[in-house]
Amino acid sequence: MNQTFLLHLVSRFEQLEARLNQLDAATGDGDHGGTILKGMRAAAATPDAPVVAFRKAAGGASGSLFSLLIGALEQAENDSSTLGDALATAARKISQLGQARAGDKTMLDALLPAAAAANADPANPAAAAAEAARRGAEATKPMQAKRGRAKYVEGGGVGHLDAGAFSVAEILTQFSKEHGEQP
Amino acid sequence: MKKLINSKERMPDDMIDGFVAAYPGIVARGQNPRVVCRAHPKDRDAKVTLLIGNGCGHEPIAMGFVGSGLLDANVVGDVFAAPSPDLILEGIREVTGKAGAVLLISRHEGDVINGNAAAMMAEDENLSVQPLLMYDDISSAPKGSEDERRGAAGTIFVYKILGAAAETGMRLDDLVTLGEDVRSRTRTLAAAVAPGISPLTGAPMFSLPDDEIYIGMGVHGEPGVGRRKVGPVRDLVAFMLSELLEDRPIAPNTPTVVLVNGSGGTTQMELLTVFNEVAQGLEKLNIPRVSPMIGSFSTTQEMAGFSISLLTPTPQMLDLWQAPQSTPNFPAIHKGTRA
Repeated sequence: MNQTFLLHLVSRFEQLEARLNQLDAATGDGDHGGTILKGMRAAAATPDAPVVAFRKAAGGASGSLFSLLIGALEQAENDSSTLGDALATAARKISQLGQARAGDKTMLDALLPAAAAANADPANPAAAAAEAARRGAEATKPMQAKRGRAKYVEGGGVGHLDAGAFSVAEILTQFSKEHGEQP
Repeated sequence: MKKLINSKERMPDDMIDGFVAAYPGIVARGQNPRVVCRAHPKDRDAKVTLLIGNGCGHEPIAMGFVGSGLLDANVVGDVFAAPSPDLILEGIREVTGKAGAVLLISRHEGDVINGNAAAMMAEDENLSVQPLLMYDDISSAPKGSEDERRGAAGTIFVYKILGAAAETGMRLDDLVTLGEDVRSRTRTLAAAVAPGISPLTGAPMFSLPDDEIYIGMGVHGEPGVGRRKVGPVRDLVAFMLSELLEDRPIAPNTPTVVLVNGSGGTTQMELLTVFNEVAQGLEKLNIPRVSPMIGSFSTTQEMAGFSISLLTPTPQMLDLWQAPQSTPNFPAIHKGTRA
């Protein structure tokens, strides 16, 4: 996988770590930013096998689930016309593993619309995916969590952005920049 | 926040280093440094192995329960993070022989996802591994949706009873059936008094006013479970006991094992006070109690609070619960009964 892209993700998540931890603290145990950053650093250090490196280093549910997103981007990095299908496949696997659906206030709420938007806009699939993911993440705010740790929090995290959905949007935004598609 | 650590990154490994150095006759590191296994394993082609992967920060569970008569191995993830499927698979490979293995999974998102993925990967390698989901927390999903509940301290019943059964040579399928039966007879409800501090962020893990106690994990839509004012512990325990018995009624004269687990920042003095209230409550209902376990075994850092778990064991389960074991941290279970 393109190491420059992975290194850019590392610096972006270094900036975001505290904010993501804070978002996660409202609904989980407050370490989402640190978890993703650990995974990104390992992926950037192992660009030949970023998926396994990410999964092993990040650990937790996020390690397994976000490694599928990394896998989709690896697949689509040289041909962004395949991005929509790759994201849809990742979303399907994430949904199976996590037993989650659209509207459950999870990373899927950013990923599913991103996949659809990429397929609907063949001229700028990466930018469309990023834009849809950002809207999707924003839309998690009023949702009540049905999956993930937020489910067990008083109020199901209503009023807070889902940290996982936010991370998906950030990753896709970086991917879009890398492909010269400015949203 | 003050934590006695060297660095965030080194916390799990420094802890495991200390653990294996302290109990060299009982536990040892596996080939992977995050796998803690028995120092003197039994013949793995004859005895089913029992293992679990989990995030650390909850000690003594689960690492402290590795040893003869209990777990064969514990795969240790980072703080509060389930180990990756790859790491769990390495643990499975290290301890699984022809007799097979039970992979215990306490029902939490990461543990379920990564545990099931690891069991699938193990099957691909022709290892005979059966995952067993454990769940007992009645506050995390309503009655009727038991299989959506979280694993809490009552999972300790499954660890111990299956550990003792595996030691006697019970076969893989029978162990899984027994484990499911223990699970169906176990219920837990927890009360939080004050948050623990996450060693990762240095911040409290939730907020709770000084005069409030939080019952259960706060799933909404379940009447009676949520915040309440601090009052005499008698009232709190009576309420929790009635919730537990409403979820799974226990008939008079049914021997019952009580586990009072502290979550890290609650004293033994308080836990014994809680136990006393549970004991009196059960006595009023003519429910005899046997072989209790009281102490802080499944913890969340310095979180203050406790849980009450009830098990109505079959005679076979009770024998296995009382069977001797030799592990660094599991307590001796006394037979004493009192009707």
